[in-house]
Amino acid sequence: MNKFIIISMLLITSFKQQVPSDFNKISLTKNSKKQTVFVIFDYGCGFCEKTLISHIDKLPFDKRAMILYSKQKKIRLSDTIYEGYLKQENFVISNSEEIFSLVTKKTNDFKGPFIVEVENNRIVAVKTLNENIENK
Amino acid sequence: MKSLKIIVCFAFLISCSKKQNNEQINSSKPLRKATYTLLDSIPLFNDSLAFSQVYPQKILVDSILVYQFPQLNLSLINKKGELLKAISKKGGLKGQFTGDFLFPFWCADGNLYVLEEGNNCKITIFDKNLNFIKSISIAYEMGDKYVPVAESVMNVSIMSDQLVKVVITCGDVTRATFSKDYYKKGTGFVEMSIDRKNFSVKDIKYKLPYTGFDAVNKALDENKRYWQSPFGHLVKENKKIFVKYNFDNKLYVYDENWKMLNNYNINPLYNSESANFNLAFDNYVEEKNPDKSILNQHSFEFSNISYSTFDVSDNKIFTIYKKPVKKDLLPKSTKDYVNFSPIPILHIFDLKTNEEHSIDLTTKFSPYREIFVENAQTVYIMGNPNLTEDVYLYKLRINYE
Repeated sequence: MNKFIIISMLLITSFKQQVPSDFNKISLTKNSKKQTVFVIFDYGCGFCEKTLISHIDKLPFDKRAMILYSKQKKIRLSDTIYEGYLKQENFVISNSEEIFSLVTKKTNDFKGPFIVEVENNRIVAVKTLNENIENK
Repeated sequence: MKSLKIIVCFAFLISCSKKQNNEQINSSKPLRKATYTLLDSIPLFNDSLAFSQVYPQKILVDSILVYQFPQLNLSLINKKGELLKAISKKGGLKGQFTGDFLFPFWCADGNLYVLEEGNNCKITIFDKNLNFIKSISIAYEMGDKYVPVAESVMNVSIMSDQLVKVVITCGDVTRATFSKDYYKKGTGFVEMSIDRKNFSVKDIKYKLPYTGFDAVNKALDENKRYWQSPFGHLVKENKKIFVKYNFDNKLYVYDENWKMLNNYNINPLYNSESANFNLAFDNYVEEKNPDKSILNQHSFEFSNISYSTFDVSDNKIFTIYKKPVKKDLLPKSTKDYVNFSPIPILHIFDLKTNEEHSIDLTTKFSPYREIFVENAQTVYIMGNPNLTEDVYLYKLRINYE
């Protein structure tokens, strides 16, 4: 029975969704087994930005990672409101539809910001930080 | 005979005084096509930055104000696209922007005034060396009024050693922009007198009530609204205030005390294709059917004549409107809208001769961004950021027939 449970868990784990490729551009995600990645849309409101900053502030500086979903490619961290909150190597700009689809479909929220828990290159959990949406 | 002469003289005097006070000039001269020659392409990008908003007021001294949206990283670049100075950006620190959109304006005294549009509207002032001086929270001063995002303009002019006068497009939070009440009680602009020493607001007045315009009154009477946005565009040139709204084809000219001097009838080459799409007042475009709602919004914007911007120089008005499209070619969804690039038409009206010229631009040019006119022959128009992130500011020479 125990073997069956272990095999089932392994199977479930192996079926967990692989992270979209842009997650691997984040230095922390490449180098650690477990990582929290914040995702925010660049057209998000000031409230979204403040919400994300209040959450990112709770993590140690070296453990902070984020993806800024934007149609623009040429954005410098130093020009954004997130300057000083995390290292450049853990800040990625992406307009990947895969990422957009991942966060919106898993949360039924088109606003965010979002938290994506990653472990061994797999998606463990996706949650919205939007207070108006209840996480599953 | 003597009495006849007196009557003729009297009639002449009356006609002259009418022309001076409230003249409506109808262009009787035929509209002519003009062409353009591309003189220069100024990159608004470099290896690490690509700016989507440009304000070339000081382009003649090789200084161009630019920023990215929504980062609001207001910067100064040169004609090679090289970054000269990062002025400020969005953030909560002193001198940083908290608005949603910016409209920067160089005052003649060298100071840079930056309008921060949105609910939390502010004016942030930088000195000649672009060091932060002060932020004025005009949201508090304006009460129920606000500065509409991405549709506002600002003009700053020196009135005396003590005061500058700031004119800004304004909206009203207490009434919906599609309601009759908005037009019956609203005004288009706010004028503030600001102390040049401590940058405090000394006086605030609301100007140009909508009920002062025949087109609005006619639309209210007929209960037919032909336009979506009530917000006007304004340019100040040689102590005259030029105003353009989207509710008619007129350009209104006022003196510095807002007394109307003239209004000019612009005769666009292209007419509205959908027989002037209209909705009743108080009927919001967002109907129960989202597809219909989107189509209504697009009909206002792309089927009717919709002016985006204008500038005045050498007694000529240069305005850009979107070439109206037929109903079956309208973008039908948000996705269509993103990929839809209307054709900008440059229309030139000569204030002295009433001659009009029209130039069909291409979708390479933005139909939305500000036009900057150096002189009657030279204009700057931004490239279309919908097509590429790396956008140029184009310098064009206008070839009149």
